[in-house]
Amino acid sequence: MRTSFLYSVCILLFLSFFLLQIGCKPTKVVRSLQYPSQFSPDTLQYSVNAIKVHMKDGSLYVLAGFITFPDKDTLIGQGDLFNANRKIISTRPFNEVQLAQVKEVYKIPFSDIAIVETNTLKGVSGKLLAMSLVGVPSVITAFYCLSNPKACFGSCPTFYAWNGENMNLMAEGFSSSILRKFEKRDIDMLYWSKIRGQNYEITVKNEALETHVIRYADLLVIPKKNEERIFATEEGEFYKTSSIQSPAKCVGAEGDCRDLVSHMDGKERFSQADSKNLAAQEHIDLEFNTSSKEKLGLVVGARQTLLTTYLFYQSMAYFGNTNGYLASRIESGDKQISRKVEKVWDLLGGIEIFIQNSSGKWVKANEIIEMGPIATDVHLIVLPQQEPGNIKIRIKMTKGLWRIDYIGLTEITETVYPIRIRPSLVTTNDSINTVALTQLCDTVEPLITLPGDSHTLHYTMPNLSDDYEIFLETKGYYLEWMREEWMAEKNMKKAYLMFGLPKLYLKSVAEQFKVVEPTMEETFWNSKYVKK
Amino acid sequence: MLIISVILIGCSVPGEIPSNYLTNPRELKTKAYGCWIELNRDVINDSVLKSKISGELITVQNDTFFVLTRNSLMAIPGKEIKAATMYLFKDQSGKYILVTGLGLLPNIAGAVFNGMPEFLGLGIPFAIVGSVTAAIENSANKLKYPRKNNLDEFAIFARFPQGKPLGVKLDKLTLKSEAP
Repeated sequence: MRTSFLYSVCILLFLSFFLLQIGCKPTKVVRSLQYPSQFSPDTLQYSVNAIKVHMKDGSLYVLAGFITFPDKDTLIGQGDLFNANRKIISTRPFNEVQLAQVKEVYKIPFSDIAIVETNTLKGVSGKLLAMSLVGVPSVITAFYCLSNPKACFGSCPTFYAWNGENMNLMAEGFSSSILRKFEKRDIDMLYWSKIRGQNYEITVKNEALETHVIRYADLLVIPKKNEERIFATEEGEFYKTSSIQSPAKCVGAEGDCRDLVSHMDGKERFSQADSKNLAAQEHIDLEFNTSSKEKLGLVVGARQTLLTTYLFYQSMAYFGNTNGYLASRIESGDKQISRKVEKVWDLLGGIEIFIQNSSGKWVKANEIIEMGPIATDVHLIVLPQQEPGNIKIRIKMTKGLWRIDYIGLTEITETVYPIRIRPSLVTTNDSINTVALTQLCDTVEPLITLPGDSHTLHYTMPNLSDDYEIFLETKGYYLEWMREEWMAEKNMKKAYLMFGLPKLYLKSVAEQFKVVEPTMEETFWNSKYVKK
Repeated sequence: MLIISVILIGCSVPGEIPSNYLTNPRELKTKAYGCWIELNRDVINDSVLKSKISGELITVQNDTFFVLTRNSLMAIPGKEIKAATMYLFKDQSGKYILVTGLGLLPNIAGAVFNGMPEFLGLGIPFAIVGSVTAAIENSANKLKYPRKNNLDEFAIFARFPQGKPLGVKLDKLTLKSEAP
């Protein structure tokens, strides 16, 4: 008894000192003051954390929630207004819906503000408060989104261009750039695009509950003739090609898939996700017969299914009102968290292209990793030098993750270099928008769009050819808005499982995903903001 | 150790401060008034001037502290301040003492009813954590000059942290308890 008692005391002493080290911090108030010029954000700022706005005349707004817009010198909020003697003059009760709609709010000009005060408590038991982008009212068709909230539309700017008949959805920008930290350049081939004279138009839309930050949207054009096509590789190199041929064989788990991949026609080959493991792999075997001695490339037109969108939204739901904290940690350079986020997507992976060499061994040629469920992206994979004859190619990918519209083998004739064209004009609601034009051509201030925003970008084509292959190069990132329906699913244990043990998580969530998988695609395209 | 903690905490309870100025720390986010301050100034040869001033810090302007006491508004140059204590929120150490005490009750009961003093020994680590936490919290709610803080750290907890607002007559202001 005495020995076990001493042992217990030692363990408890150790634990107590350990707890003292990590948790015993005094309650501390960190108060910060900002002048309006420091408070003016370059992106939409929305918070439900209380702030105090000290006015130049001595009055005080204590706001439970507020919004500021990047191009407006007004702070919008709800809360209480006090006079200099701290008697309440008026009240605008906090209501997230009304705040987002700018109803029953205070509109406080920055010019009247002396200072803005924020307070953070540290060392207090309970959750650390953080700024979040929370609570925007859902505008998507109630029936679809209430029954399946994570099927509803989202993710990155959409670009529409002329296809010979109408303006059609052709590209989505930087789909994986869900935070500024993940901002990247994206090149999309406007495969169906047709030229109409010297002026070329692209309409960029924000059709989701997101804030889009667009640094630039330039055209990359290459003159072409007759039936030539030019494609881009994952590395951003451009090649002119000829003689694209469809596969002689295309076999997946379901059997023959030749018909679905022989033409870029919107008829896609895809599979269902594995019912026990969302990261389970599958492959498609292709054969081509070629007599060409030229350098060859594989053309693949594909987009993702909604699996990654579902997982992304699910992660936001799990984190609930701590999403802002997570985002701020990543933006602050927390590499550990960034790696955990990236690991989930790495597990799902891209479309791996393997070619069988003369020894019968499968050699990896490259991998298509571009994310996005909205627009089909067309990629060129340069293959290792092959002898003419029967070429066998294997495409390996995660089951249920990719929708493949087109696979072809092409001869690469030459390397080409695009001409970059910046927009010469931007119109918004048929009015010239010089601010947006400056923002797209400026390296400092980006174009920021909110849900429902739409701009038409006008480009002047060079007078070198009658026809061009057109690519769109964009750069930026976007911020997904939290949905009210997701908040109810906050579950930090599942969040930790998802990012701490992603392999296990992808197995555990498979059954749940399978329930929504059959109707996700239809629900997605029927949600309000999208017209395909 | 618990007894010592209680004594220390008891000694630090400010008797002159209105209770409505000692709020829960979370209320600092929405509190419209300034925090309560006690100043000790250099006594000079004038019986009218008091060495200790206690009131709400209204603002700091040009290194002058404007303090609204129960009687009047006082303007004290910063260079005359010998010591100052500002109470940001209510001392939180009491609740840790309470929790620690309640948590030790089973140990005490075990020792008494089973006649085994080892029960008290098992409670030692918990008592250490509770006591140290309470002791740390004891001074966490205050700013202290010159012992811990600089005078310029006090200004942001004033009613008008931005300085004296134009058009506001500071001497017409009232304390929270007297506000109509």
